[in-house]
Amino acid sequence: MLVFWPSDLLSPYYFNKKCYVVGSNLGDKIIVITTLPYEDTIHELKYKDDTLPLTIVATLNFEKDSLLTLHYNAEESTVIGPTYVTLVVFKPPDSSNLEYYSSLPISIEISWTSSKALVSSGGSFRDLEDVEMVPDLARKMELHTLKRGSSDDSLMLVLKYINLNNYLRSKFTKKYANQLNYIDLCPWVFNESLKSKLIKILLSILQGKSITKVVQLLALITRIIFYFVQAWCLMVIKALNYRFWGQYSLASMSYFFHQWEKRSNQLYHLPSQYQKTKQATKDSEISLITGTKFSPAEYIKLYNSLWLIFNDLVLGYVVATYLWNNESAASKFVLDWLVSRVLIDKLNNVIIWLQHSPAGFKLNNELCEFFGEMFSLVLSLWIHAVKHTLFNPKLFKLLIQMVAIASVSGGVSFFISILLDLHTLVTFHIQSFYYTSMRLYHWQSNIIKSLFRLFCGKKYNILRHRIDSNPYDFDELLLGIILFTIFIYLLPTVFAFYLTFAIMRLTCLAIGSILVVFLILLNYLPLIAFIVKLKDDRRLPGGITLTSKSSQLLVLKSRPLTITEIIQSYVYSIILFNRVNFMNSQNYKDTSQLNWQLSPLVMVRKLLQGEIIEGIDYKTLF
Amino acid sequence: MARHPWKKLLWLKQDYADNYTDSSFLSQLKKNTTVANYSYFKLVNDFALIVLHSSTIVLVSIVFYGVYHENWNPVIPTLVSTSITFIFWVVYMVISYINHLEVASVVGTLKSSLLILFILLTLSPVLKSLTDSTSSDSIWALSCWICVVNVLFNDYVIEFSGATHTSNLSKNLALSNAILLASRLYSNLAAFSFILFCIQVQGLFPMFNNFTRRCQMLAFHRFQLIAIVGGVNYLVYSILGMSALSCWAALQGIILFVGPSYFIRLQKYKEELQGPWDPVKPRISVA
Amino acid sequence: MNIAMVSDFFYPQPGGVELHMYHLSQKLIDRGHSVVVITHSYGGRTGVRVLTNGLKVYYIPFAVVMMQCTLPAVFSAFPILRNIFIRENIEIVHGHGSLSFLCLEAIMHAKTMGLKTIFTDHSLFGFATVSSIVGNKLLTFTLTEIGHVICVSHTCKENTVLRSSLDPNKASVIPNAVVASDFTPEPNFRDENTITIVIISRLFPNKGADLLTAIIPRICAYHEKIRFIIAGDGPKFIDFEQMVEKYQLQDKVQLIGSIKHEEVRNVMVKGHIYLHASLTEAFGTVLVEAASCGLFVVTTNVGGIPEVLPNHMTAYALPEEESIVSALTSAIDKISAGKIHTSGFHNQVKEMYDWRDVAQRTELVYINVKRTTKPTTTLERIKKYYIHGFWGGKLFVLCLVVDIFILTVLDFWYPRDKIDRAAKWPHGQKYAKPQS
Repeated sequence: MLVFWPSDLLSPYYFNKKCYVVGSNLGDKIIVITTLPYEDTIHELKYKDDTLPLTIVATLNFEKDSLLTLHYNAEESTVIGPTYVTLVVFKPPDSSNLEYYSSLPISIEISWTSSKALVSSGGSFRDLEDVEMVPDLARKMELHTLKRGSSDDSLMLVLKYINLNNYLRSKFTKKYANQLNYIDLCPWVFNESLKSKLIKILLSILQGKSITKVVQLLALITRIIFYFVQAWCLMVIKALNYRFWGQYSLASMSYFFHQWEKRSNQLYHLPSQYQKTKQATKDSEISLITGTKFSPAEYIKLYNSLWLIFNDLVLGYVVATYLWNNESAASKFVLDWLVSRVLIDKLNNVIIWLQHSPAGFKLNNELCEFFGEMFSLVLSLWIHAVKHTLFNPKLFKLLIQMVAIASVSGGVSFFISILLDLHTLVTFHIQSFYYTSMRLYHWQSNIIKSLFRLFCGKKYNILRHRIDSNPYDFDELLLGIILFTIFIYLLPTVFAFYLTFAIMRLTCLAIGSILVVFLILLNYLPLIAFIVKLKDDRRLPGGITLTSKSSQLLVLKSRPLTITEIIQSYVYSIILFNRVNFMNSQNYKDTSQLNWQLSPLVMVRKLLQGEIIEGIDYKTLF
Repeated sequence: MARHPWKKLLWLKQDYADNYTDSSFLSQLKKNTTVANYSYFKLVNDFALIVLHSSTIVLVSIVFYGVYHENWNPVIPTLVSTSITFIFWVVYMVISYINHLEVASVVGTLKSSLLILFILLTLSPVLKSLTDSTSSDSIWALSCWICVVNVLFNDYVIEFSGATHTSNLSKNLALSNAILLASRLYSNLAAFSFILFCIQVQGLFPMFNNFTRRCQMLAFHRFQLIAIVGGVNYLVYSILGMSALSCWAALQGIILFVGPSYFIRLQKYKEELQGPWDPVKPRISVA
Repeated sequence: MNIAMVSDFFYPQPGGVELHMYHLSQKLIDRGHSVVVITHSYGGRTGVRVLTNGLKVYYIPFAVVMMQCTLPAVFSAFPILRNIFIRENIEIVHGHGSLSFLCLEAIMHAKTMGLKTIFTDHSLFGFATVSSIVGNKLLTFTLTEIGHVICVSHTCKENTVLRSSLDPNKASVIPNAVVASDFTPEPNFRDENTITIVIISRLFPNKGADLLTAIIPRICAYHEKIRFIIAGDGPKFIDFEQMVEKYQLQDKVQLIGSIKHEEVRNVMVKGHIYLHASLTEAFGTVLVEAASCGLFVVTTNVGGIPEVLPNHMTAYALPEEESIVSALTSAIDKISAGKIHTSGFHNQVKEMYDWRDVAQRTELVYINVKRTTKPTTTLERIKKYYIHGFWGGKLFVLCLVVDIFILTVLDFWYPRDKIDRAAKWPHGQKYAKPQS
């Protein structure tokens, strides 16, 4: 038999003191809630409140009837019973502090939309799981998986009593204190934490009438302010998401607007989230009784948002000050070094290099010359366009000032998103070169493929999507071979250009992806989970552990989530969040595409087949 | 008790041990059923096809050598080959007409040959500059290998039974070789005429030769053979000299006369086992 | 007895060898033996799996080269095979399929370890091509010291004996069988307004696909009521599609592509005649299945096919277009005239072929081998191998010596007594299929 004993009921107070032990008897398990001093008048105790009944389950330091008899051992400050009893000592969780025991790890989720969307689209979400079970197979699977047996259920019940320990105790004593008048005899009252006393004192001060009015007024003003802020945010969100042309809206085209929309969204939701969190703290005990899964997820979400915004603003201020002070250096760096030297001069050099047997490869001179001239022409046009508009020094100075203002008001995430937008703009010519050469390469390799089929006397049947054998005539064959030979010899030239631009494009993608990763960290880092982990890790239960002290004594402890588990849980929630966003924006059923994009093998395959390589689609996914 | 005689059946439960070996064991075994008594002259005839094919390859190489090194006028060989091709085409049409064979229409042939001609003409600048940046030595080496593979993988059609689908690999290789070599020539015209020459010698001529053999015009076939081989030998002699010719002639002699006798010699080592386990050849009547 | 079945071919791959191994193992387990199957890993299916009635399958992680065969590295599987043999206390190693390198390797190593070896050959090979010459040499090497060889038909026995220069008395003929209860006739499924001809075959050239594409249009033209159902896939599938399109037989010929083995019966029972045009066949299990489903069988008489079914169930034809057409048309005429009664076929087939019978006869072979094989000295073994050809003999001896050396090293490195012995599946606890 297991007796679950709260550790605060192990004080020397019990030395040789006769007490009744009040708790719940679950057959082979007893959960102790509190004690009552011995009194002759008490013979039977029936306490029924809500759904959790309490009875006298044992006696301490004396024998009575058929009740289980326990003894307090002062030397080891433990409770000893008959040999068949094993004592499990636990520290009652402070539910007002959001501490609790759980056999399942808490999920770290910081996005507000993902879980909601999952619930609302429950039916379609099932398709994502790739589990289409035939009933037969499902039955077969049952034989192969561990069943959640009755022992599992009883563990849940035990944990429920343990989590409600303080709550039940207070309710129980409130009821019996009035009747029996021995409230001052119960040890736990003396142990009541200083903190709750303080709160009581504060509350009593606040109950003064004049102060209440001030508080009410303040609350009203805050509410009005929040109302306006919310209205403004809503307007911004609507405007940024307005699809002015097909699928395109401002938020879907520019990182800056996307970030702006994100921030407005956060602000818009903050008040309701705050209320929800307050409600959640109140409701936690109720939800524990009714058995609904209680999770401090709301609390984590709210404070995470707040922390992230604060963090963002502080960093933004640092960046903005730096920009103000080093304005000229920054503009020099971007205009002279980045745009003129790297993106224009170096690129021109590369094109010239490609025209003249790059790395000793013998390419076709005429084709090389043609490509080189074509790209050079486009490049010169691009220089003309860029240098005289956005990147002329005067305008650029203004731009830097605006960036500084944006990062002061919006945070460093605004700064990074503007960087990302500029990055897209500045590398536009590389992107277009890449796209052109990719199409050329793709087109040519397809022709070679189909001409090779002609070699083998086969052809692709476009109506049936299969390869048929086909006897070609001599003239067809002749033409095919001539073209095939020409294309084979020109392939290295096209590939050389394509590969160069593809590598450039990949480099650009890598730089962009690094910035995007920063943006993701700034917007979605589970900061609060780490902070809570440092401060009080009993709020992040990842399961329970039992350690044996002696043959009859076990200690029950909550195992906090490890850092790796926090990260895993977080990554999982982010992926879910992405999936939902992806589905919403693209109406794709097949979300497996998401996972493919970043695999290096897929990238190499796409590179060789001349398909377009895409980076992380941040604006769709987040 | 008399035992039932053993039967070669699986469905019947027989009163014999599983490893019982009957006297009829391996009675269906046949040995060397496909061994034919080859006649030496027939074989020489067949081996001559190899000589013919290699001669056409050498012919192309010689002409290229002439145009590239000796500054021949590239148009002359092409004119010669074109006129011969034209004559052969007329012969082909006439024989087909006499034997009531199905032929392509004159207009169609004309159309496709004009099409090829013009495309070649259009592409000849591209062809000429195709391998400009590659060194000549690598081109010669590549060309050599293509020729060797060409000889090895040519479909030497000996019997014309059924609608056999001939492999085009050797023709493809020959043409690739032609384009490769043509890209080394100095003018567009030279490249154009050389490729045309190759198409006629290595593409159309083998087809015509197969046609004459199919029509059992053996004398005509031999005439072609002797003319080509003789012509090539003369060219080898006149351009590369006596020593090259003797080497080349020796090679031809070995292929033509030693090859068949070695082949016949090998026949006696043949030990072929055949029985019911062999995959049978299905006989499908051609509609 | 503790028996290890070794082959590259096993579930989840479908096929004749796979079914044979599975059913034989099941029946041997019923007879009180302990059987493990050793095969290579299939995709993610690696490690040990236990199938019905405790049939343990070892999926060894080896790279598959092509056609589900492992790399022909002569010694690479030795360590793991030795481990399994010792772990499972194996007495008899039974290899299947001469194309399976794993099987050939296992037989060689088992002999070196002093175990009894059996080999079952499931297929026929010619002597003409280079690959078959190499394959036959390899088989000769493997079967030099084999305890006994089992062939699935008499033709197969002749073939194997010739290929591996074996003593014919060392080769027994034990045919395949079918689970007759899985192939019950169902006359109601037939469309009696038509005469349906079923073809179930992988569409490869050696399965007579060219013959079939030539025959089908002619038969369709012969009789209005003819329908064809063709199940199976392969490189020749396109030819069939083209044939259907060319002769516009879309409403008469149904191409259903590849089907699972458990669906075969449901397709078969729709037909009256089963047509088999294979060009080579060791046994032809599908013929027995068709007959068991109550179909009249028209087949080419190649390989072991003439041994498989009695004459009243079959019509034989030469592998020629004309011959098959005439055999098929006469069968169609007889069926439409009601002269052929196929209702009794199922029970007759049930009498002829039964896995229990196969297991019993195989067990007899095991007992025989256990009784007769005597331990041989290394010198005797070398002599046996040396006589196989000028180069081959020396190569074989080299392999043998290396094998013995590897065993010595393994015995030193991973001593026998350090290897855990696997607990055997409790005998008698069997899963019984409910009889319906």
